[in-house]
Amino acid sequence: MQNHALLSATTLTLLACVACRSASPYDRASMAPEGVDDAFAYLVGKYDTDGDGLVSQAEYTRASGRFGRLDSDGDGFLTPDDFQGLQVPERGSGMGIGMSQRFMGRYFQLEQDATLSLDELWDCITTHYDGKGDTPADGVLTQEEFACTHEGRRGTIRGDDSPMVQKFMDPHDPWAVMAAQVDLDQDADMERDEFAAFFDTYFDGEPFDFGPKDESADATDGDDEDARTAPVGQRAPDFTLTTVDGRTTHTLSTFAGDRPVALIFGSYT
Amino acid sequence: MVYIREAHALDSRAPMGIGDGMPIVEDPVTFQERSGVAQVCMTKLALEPMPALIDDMDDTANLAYGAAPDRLYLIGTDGNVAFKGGPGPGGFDPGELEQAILAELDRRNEAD
Repeated sequence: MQNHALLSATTLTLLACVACRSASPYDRASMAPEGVDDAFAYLVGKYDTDGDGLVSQAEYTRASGRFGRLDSDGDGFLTPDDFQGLQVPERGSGMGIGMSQRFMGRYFQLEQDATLSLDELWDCITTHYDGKGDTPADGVLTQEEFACTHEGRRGTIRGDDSPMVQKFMDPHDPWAVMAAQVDLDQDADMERDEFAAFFDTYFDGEPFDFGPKDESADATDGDDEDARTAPVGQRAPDFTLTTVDGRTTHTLSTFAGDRPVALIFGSYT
Repeated sequence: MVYIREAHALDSRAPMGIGDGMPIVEDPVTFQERSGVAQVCMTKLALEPMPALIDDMDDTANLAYGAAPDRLYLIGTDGNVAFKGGPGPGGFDPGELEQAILAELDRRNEAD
């Protein structure tokens, strides 16, 4: 019995060693393995089956439609050029709109009140940006005009010093983020009509708020879809989910009558 | 913790992980992929003492609670929503959740 047990243990150990050697670091699917901190290197390591140092659409075997988001220059291949600098949030994305709001609030306010209208934004641009440097005052905001004055115009937004805001905001180029949402004709500058389209499209032409929400706001007012989602005082939407180790499931409603449950929703990114 | 769809996957509309020091994660397309990333998250962020559940690939819990990209809730002993935090990241305030927990415990103690 003891010899059989020793043989089984040895066999299992050998099998485990074989499994470890044969497992690619990319077998843990959708995440870069330890030590790989370059996005292009990760993608090449995972998808470049012909070893040419590029990833073609045919080699990219993941969910369809996603290749285009990675292939930022649209040449049909994932190359280092697609990963130069930070990716700018896509036009119309929630992140792009939200970041643009905060950047506009930082740099284009005249009144430091966490609300920005199109008129205030454009008055700030014509007063403090248009015509600065060696550029003409022509009613168009250029990247040169923005760059030569924006640090001096940086306003104060309540909450902008929080680690969460810094995590999202500070690594990104404010001009690039705003231009992705505003510069509709992609002529590398921004005009009043383009800012107006941004306000019209996402805020019905009204001033928008930015920074932390007003704590006195009643979340159940009006037609706010978010207010109708899991509102305070109503039965919590039930769910049955699996633990991270995959061993058990838990149903939220089973905790009722026993103890309060804090739900922390989030992800690694 | 309820682990939901990645907020800033490499191949999402709002990517991170390119030159910004953020984790490089493709948007998981299977439960196993999502679970794998969640395990790394729990370890790297030292969250392992906290029980964690994985949302299904239909994003059931995420949608039911309007949770993306991150959000805090407290469900009371009565099974009702006792606290609903603002949408993240700006509305993600652990201090508010702490106060809500204390209030709920006071309420329960008074009821006993």
